Amino acid sequence: MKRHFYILVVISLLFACAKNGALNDVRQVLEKARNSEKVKKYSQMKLDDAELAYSKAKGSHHPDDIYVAKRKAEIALFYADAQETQENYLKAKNSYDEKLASQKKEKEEEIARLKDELAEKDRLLQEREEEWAKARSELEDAMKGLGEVKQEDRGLVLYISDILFDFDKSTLKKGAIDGLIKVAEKLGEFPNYKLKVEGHTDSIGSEQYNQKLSDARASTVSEFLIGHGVGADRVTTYGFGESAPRATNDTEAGRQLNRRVEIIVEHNK
Amino acid sequence: MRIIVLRTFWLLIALSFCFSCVKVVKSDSMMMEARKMIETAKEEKAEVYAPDHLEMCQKELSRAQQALEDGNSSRAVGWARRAMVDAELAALIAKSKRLKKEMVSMGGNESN
Repeated sequence: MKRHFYILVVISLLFACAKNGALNDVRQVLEKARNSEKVKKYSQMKLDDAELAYSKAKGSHHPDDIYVAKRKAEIALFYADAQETQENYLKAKNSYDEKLASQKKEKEEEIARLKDELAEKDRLLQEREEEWAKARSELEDAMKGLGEVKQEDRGLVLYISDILFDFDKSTLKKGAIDGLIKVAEKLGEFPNYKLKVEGHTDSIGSEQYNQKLSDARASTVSEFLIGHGVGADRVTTYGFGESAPRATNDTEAGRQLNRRVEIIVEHNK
Repeated sequence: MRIIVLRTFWLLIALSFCFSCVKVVKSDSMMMEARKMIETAKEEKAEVYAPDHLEMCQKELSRAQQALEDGNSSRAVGWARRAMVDAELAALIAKSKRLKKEMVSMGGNESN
């Protein structure tokens, strides 16, 4: 009988110790919450709730009350953490939204600037095309009696026939000068275009001789143009001799076409 | 005397019936609160950010339901109370973790 009594006492003591241990855990978590600045700032109400639950648990020693008290103390801690995080999140979000808005504004400004640039380029291109068409039309007029004008990949090509020079000479014929003056004046009116002056001969005579003759004739025309208002920096001169015929050298008509000076007006794209 | 004893007997029967009804109503209401809190935790994405806590409170709610079905109202109230606090904790943990993660994705500072 006595033995049973002692066993009961020991079991009761163990049970009481276990409950006190659990309550001690609650006390520790609650203490942590009480000492937390974050809890004081954000979750005083939750802490008060936890204090009440702890008082109830101390009174009842019921496992559910102890469990709930511990969880409420933890809730006070996590609530404070969540509130602080939310506050930081809202600040970060505001700053992020501002950053996005600023980036969007910068992009819109960049797009507007690029659109303006594009419009300006289009305008310049349009002007250039108009100028080019005008130059072509006016040069065609000026070339009447001197030769033909053709639009080619290399630019606007003024083919001046053999009427400029006497046979085997590189000095300009007097009768051709007036026409060439008109051409020079027109070319002077369009200073944006580079010019290439090319001399060509037929195949009569030696290659070397023809090369020299074409060089000399091309130079004569270049100097004439420069002397009549065309900027020297715009003009380059080449002699091709008989190497680049336009037609056969077997007939007189073909040879006449091959004896020529070409002025190439380069289109600046 | 006999009438008094009989009246007292029926009064006690009625009181115990009322008491048991109150217990059942209380457990029902607490379970409803726990369910609401679990929904809140799910809205905070506790399934992703606090899965262990969410699972725990769901188990506690099941136990409360089982206790109620077994007619043990006071036990049902106990489990429902546990489920409620655990669900609240799950919601808070999930909210905090989710917001911290979103801050990182915005290029903000994760630590507080």
